Amino acid sequence: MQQLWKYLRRGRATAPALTPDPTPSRGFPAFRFDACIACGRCAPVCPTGVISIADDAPALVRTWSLDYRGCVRCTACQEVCPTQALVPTHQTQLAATSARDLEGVARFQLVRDQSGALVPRRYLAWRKETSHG
Amino acid sequence: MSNKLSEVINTLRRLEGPLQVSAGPEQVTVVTAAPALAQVCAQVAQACDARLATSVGCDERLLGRGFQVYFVFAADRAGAFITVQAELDENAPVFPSLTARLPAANWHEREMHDLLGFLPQGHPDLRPLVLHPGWPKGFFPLRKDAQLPPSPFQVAGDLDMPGVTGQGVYQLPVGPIHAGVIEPGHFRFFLDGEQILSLEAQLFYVHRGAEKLIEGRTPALALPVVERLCATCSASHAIGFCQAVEALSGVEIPPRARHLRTLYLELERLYNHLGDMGNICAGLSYHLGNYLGASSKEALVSLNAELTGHRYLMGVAALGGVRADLPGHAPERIRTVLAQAYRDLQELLSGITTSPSVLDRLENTGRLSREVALELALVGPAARASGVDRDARRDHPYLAYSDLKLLVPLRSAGDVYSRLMVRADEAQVSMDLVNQLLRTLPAGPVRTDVPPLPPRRQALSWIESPRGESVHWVQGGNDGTIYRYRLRSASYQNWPAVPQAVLGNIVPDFPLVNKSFELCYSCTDR
Repeated sequence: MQQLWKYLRRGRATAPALTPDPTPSRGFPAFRFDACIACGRCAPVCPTGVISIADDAPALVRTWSLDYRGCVRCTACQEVCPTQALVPTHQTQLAATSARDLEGVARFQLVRDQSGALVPRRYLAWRKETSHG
Repeated sequence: MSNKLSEVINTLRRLEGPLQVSAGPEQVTVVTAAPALAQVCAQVAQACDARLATSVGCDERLLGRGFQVYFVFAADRAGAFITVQAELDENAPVFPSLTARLPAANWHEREMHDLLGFLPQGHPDLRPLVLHPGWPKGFFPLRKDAQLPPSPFQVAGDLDMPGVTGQGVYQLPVGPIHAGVIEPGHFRFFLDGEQILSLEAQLFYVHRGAEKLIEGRTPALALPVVERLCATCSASHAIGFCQAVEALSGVEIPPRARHLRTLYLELERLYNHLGDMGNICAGLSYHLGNYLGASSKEALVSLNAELTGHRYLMGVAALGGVRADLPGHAPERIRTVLAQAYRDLQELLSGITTSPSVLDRLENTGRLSREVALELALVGPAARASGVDRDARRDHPYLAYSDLKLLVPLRSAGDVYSRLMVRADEAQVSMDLVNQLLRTLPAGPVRTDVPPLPPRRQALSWIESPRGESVHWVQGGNDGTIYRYRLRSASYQNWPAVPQAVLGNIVPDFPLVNKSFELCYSCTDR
């Protein structure tokens, strides 16, 4: 019984690697929320289409998201990012207890500029539940 | 234009029949009428001493050109590729089959029949190749107007396997799910006791429709897909595709990028050859050899990760060059790892050549004659082990190969031992090539810009992957995207040889014979 309680309390079962990866590989991009200008250039160059950017015009919110499950670590998004908001890492492992943990979502407030176009203005929130962020 | 190429053109101009000949650098196009296609192809193959390199069926109705077939021949001694092109009737896309005259066309024609609904008239065996039982009649996925059905197809019905019958002859089905974590293929043996009388193979269990997926993508978005058509030749596939796009866009990549691409291709060949030699040892239960091969392969793929960020060299190629330059310490590291790999290889070879029980399994097993290798237009180590002296790096030089001293090892027995030794010899040649490349690595940028694809034109590129020559064919659409792409991988060309090589062998030697070809299902099935 005690043993069972111990297991239940332990939570995530994946143990950390005993030795660090001897040859660091090209990893998932990390997202730097404070550097992102929500320009959306990364979305169309993603070969697997896992970066999306969408506007909720009535609510004046732009949402950027990256689903790490489909990321093939090609670095195309990093190459087009004008502000280095997507930066290289050596993180290559995808173990999580929920698919939600493998998604990064950032929200930006939109304002209308002089021409009436919606432009991102203020950072609202960045949910970073993944170890890749 | 080289003299040899002019000779080819003159030869083609002398051929009879309704045809037009036009020439570009290293490539000649012959346009003919559909009813004359087989005749013209046979003439081209014979007059120019050419082999079938690839074929493409294409629904060009959206480009205003109807259905087209392209058969591409390689004239190795002249260093030229010859495309024979014919337009088919939209309502009755029929052309005379080449297969009876050129057996290498067998799979190519069956694939066109499956995926495009073109009918190669007179083909001796039009059973489905790519499609499995249960596929709806009249649904041709590579036609531009193909509508994907709302639900996936159920595979239903039995495979049609003619084989051999007779008193005491029995069938042994193996696969498609195998005991190891390997790729799927169904093998049906027709046996008399242990002896293999006939083998029918059903592949294409991992047909993902990759060529269809690539249609409509820009080359930059298509590159990661091409690179993942299989993992063991990913650098070859990616670089081959980039070459075709660059040829189409008229881009010359910087000299340093040319050298680096060549370097990555040789590193890919090295880890494959050493790993494959280990795999052959696994096939005959020579465990020490298996471990030595595997440990060499691991050292080499770790080196790949250190140099490029990816163990299987994915992401090294970029349109217009390579993604990133080598790290500063790379030459030193490469030399160190290769020196060790060379010592491991010598140890592996001495283990094999001094052990009678190992040699007994290797020699005379899975013999493939030179005649069959030529008939099936085999490529790569499989061809060279049967005495067919053919290597795209030497015969049709690309990247930095014309600047390098390249030896092409050759064996003639065509058995498992020859295929193993060709790999051993080639691995040593690759080590030498890597050293030559490191000595002559030019300075400068590693990438240049590539303009959008020009519309309605096509280009061809070829690359000697670890399993042999692969041919990429890319055609631009109306809007800078890819209209049609086809990869004819080395494995695709060589698979039909496996059922030939096992004839007369015993069942326990099948894994060994199969591993000596070490063909890939993934890039065959696409």
